[in-house]
Amino acid sequence: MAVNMAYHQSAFRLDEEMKLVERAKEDPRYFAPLYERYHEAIFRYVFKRVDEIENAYDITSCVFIKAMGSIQKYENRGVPFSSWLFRIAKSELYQSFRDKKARRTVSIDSVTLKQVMDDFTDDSSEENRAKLLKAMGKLKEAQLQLIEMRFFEKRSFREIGEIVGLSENNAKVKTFRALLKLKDLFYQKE
Amino acid sequence: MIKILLDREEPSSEQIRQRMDFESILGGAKYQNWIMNPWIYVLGGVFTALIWF
Repeated sequence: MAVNMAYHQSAFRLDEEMKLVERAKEDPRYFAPLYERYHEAIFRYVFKRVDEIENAYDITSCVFIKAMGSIQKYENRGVPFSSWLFRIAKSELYQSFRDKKARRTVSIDSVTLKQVMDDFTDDSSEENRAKLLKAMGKLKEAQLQLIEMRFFEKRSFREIGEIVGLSENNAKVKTFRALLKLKDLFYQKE
Repeated sequence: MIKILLDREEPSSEQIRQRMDFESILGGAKYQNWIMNPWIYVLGGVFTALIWF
């Protein structure tokens, strides 16, 4: 599985990033290098989860406005700054779903879908593909999120844990359970 | 109801960069800080009271 290099940074890079955060706390203009580093990743995370591109731009802007407004509260816990941004993005996304400003969407590429399906069945027919998509739609939100991040976005369990607020092991266990649930739903008779 | 989109076309890095420039985000953050500052409401109240009386 590919490793997300923006997340798995060296100790040196994390240290350098903390210096940028400290400067941004003093003057919001110094937030620019952090913005340049992460705005695209945050946008793509949001874009995959909403149906309209305009909503994705709006939500991403809100994420950074909120991050700049509350950067004073940010504490270094030895994890990348991006995890904190993803958490804000997650909460902004759910706020927009609650306000009905955006619709919960799952964006999947058919190659990855086939890879997930190969775990379930050797028959990757159109019918089974539709069945899998239907099963995904029946998952609980928390389970869908784990499947989405692990299999379609190829995130590590450590990164998933940081975003959803779980330990690495707990993220692993819950993702495995979500996959089992998906399998159950896939084989369930209608 | 969840909507599932297959093979959706994503905007390029350049399109995202053009659309989301830092200056507009900075402007938004500054405005947000300004309206969240309680002093503007205190001063606004004092000013209104002065005009009223």
